[in-house]
Amino acid sequence: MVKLQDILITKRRAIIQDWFERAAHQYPTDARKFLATEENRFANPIRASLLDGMNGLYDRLVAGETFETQDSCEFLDTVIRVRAVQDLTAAQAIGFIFFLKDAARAALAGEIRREGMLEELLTFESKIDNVALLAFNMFMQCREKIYDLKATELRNRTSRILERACRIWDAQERAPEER
Amino acid sequence: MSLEGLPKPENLHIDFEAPQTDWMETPTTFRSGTFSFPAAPKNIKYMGMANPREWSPTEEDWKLPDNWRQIILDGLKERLEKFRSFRLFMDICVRCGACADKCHFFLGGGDPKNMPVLRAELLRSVYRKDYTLAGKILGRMVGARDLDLKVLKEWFYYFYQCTECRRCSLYCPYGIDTAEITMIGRELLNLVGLNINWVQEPVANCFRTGNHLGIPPHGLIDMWEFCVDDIENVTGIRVDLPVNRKGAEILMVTPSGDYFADPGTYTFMGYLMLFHELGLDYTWSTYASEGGNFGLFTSHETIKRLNAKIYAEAKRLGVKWILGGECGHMWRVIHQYMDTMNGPADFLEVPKSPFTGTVFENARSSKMVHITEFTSDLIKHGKLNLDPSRNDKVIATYHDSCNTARAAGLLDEPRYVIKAVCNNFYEMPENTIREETFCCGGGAGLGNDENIEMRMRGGFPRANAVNYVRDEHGVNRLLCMCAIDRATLTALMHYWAPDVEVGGIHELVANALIMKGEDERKTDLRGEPLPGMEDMEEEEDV
Amino acid sequence: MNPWYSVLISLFIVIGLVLIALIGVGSIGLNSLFGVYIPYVAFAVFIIGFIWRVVEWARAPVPFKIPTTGGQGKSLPWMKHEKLDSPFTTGQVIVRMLLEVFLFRSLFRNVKGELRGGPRLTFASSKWLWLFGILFHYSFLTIVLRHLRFFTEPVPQWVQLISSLDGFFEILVPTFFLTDAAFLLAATLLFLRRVVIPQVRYISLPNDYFPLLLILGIGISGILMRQVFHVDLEKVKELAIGLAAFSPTVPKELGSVFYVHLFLVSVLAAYIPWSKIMHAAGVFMSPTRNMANNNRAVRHINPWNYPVKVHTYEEYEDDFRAKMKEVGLPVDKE
Repeated sequence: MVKLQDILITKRRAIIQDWFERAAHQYPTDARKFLATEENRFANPIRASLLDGMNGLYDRLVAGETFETQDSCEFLDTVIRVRAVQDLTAAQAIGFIFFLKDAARAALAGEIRREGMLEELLTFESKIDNVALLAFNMFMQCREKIYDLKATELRNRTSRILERACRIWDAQERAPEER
Repeated sequence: MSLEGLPKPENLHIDFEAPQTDWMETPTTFRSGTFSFPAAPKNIKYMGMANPREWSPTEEDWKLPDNWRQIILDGLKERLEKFRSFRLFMDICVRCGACADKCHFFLGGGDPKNMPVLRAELLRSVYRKDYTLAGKILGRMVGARDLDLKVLKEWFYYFYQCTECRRCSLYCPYGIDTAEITMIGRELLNLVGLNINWVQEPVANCFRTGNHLGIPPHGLIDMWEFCVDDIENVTGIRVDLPVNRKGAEILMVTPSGDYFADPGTYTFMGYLMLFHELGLDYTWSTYASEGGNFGLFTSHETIKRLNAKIYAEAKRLGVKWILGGECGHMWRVIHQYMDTMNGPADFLEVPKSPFTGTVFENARSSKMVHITEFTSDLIKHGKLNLDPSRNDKVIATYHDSCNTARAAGLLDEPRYVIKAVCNNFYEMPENTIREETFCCGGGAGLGNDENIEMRMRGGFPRANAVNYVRDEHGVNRLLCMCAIDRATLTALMHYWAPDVEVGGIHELVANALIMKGEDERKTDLRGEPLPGMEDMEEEEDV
Repeated sequence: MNPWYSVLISLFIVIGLVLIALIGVGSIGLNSLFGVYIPYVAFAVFIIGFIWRVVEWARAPVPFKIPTTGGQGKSLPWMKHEKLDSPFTTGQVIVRMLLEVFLFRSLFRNVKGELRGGPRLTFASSKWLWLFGILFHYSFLTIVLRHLRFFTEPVPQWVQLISSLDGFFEILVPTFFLTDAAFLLAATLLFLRRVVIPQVRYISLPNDYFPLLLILGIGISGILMRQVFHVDLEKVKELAIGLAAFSPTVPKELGSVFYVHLFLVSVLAAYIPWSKIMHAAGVFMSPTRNMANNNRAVRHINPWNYPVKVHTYEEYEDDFRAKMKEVGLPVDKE
């Protein structure tokens, strides 16, 4: 009997492509085509990051990884980090992960009926749900990082002044004691 | 069980498709994190500029003067008559789209109005309506539209979403320069009091105190002496700090970012150490203590008002020529505007290096030399005793700042210096450096914290290239010679490439510089142990 | 404006123009209007309009020297200076401009060998724009020059040479010119590019589609004239020489298709000065390209440079004198 995993491996390319296109649909119509077609990774960093991330995620999902290792999280991070600063709501930024379900169902519909792999599919989809939850964590981390940056930047910009002020302050505090 | 019964994931979300509207009909939304806060009234008032008031872009009423439309249209007319560049750029664009995918904000964010051609069309459409016959008669048919409040708000959003980096102008077959259009767009907005505080406050501060943060002279001395102390801690040498000294040979001007904030401070210390070691006859000035010029992000008149201090101070102090520090937009002003606006500097002499005798012919008229021109000449003539191995922990790459690259052609001087003081240097991929360099995403006054999301988008193409060399070569230091870069790239790296630090070139020069009579160096300027000195640090701790 | 609407409107205008010529000549018989008066008026509008636009640009001063530098500027003598991309002398600027005008060098920048997702070297799609552009402009130029044979007697040698080279492959009788094919192809590709690439479609206006369609109309009518309707070229020449000598006679039996061709050309000529096609003249005047990167060596004069209000050192010292003395800074006034 053919295993779902095997089919997912054989149809990898088509499924990821479909998945990517569904995600690309979240961008403005006019930019979409460019985002989807310009292949130079330096001329089109969004596409490169999304695809790198999606490829890695897919392979690890199919391999049945649990996303506890640093390595597998990195792929998710690549995608989420980009989407956390774009004109997307939180739901949109993470929602692309669910599109993998769609892409997989569309590609496998026939086989699943024939081979009766619905159960396997549901397991696979549960894993996708888990990744989505993980993505939500990462999204929050990225957002927190941004707020953090805002705060540190304000401090950094005047770091020398603050440091200097603190030293003077300290000196003044200490002075009376010494006397 | 059939598949049809399962809920479709798309149903969980709404609004994924962007509206398919024409750009003229797509409304501008001011979402927090993607725009800069308006200028505080006191900063506008101090400069004697138009319409100081409290207002907010997210509110409906922008508290504009009643005749704002006329003011802008008159201003537009005046500038069409004063700038051939502007007039020409309004007329000759063929919308070929060569620039479309060259803007970092478009590449990192995907908003079509960040395509340079469309940014210019925002203004062109109004120009056509009022200044071309076809536009008057045919209107929308020929891409003309009325200037209304919607258009004005769109201008504010997108003209303060351009970093004037000129990358698009490089690829344009007619050299149409979006920076020029943005500059004039902002000039027009300023006429009715639409400006951002992160530009206007430095402008007002710089006008009054000579530097962006508004630090008075005694505060500056304090700050600079603080750096002298730090140098003493690292080298055991107390370097000279000549300030406002009449009769010095050279006046040194650098952006205030170099002494207010890390990592700029290390670069500032670098200058002090280099000049001390050379025994350079020079002086700093508290009056002209700012190389940066946020007038460039305001109006041509403001550029001139702020820039005037440099020549005035050179004249008052009686120096022979001027040396300029590591800065980006400062060098756009010095290279392309200063001499025209505030020259001729006939009271100065043609710059000549006192150590090598090199005459800086390329600065014959303006009399101002870039620090990397000065230092690379010293290195070439073997005037510096350098030990690059002290920088061996640094694996460097170099980010060309937009202005030194595309408005001055200062590309190889910094590289020459870097290679002389650092053994590990790797270039980023080809179309992301030199004249094709990507902006840091925070130039032209956009490097403020409220705009951080937009900055992260705009800086993504740059960060992406940094990531590449980080992964390929283990790069851990992003060098740049621009004070804005040093501030904004630091945040950018924190987000996109957390292991990469940002720093200036003369920081590395100073690390490598063997000074006469110095103590054995145990740390670099950042206080981190030099290669091979890690154990000694620990011993001391024990 | 909806892009499809823009295309359609432009198309309808061009079809309308064709119909005007067909009806005007074929049904109403206004041969001299379409053969003489309209071309004269159009040509006059072209010349006067063209000059007027250039003068208008030239009247606006160039306040600042703002070249876009595309390479290492001239600095220290041992530093390799990129003369073309960062010209220092007028001569170098001229070479930069020539390369820009004749080879579209800035557009060519888009063409670059690139590694895409692997070790395979490929080219970025943007080279097509350069290629279509070059093809379009050069075939247009050749065709215009070739048409000089209608206006001159005897036909200059070099015009004959162009025609014979162009028709080198004598595939059809009468000779089908290579440039005609190249021209139609390039114009079509430029048009398709505008319609197909979403970003470009998004930024396109009716006044981008209209000239392309008009030019396509001219090309097609020209070819139809030669290859299908076999218009008598001797008679065309008779009219052309007459027009050039300001003593026009309108020959009989010139087919309607010739008048369509001539009318479309007239419309184009009259349209040019008011359109983006003026980029042909504008490119020569672009300050980011036609100025030298010698800013610090040679002072540029701004004719309207006016004095501004500055914060003088005296005012500054007045603000901070006490504090300056406190930290030992020298002051001018005690």
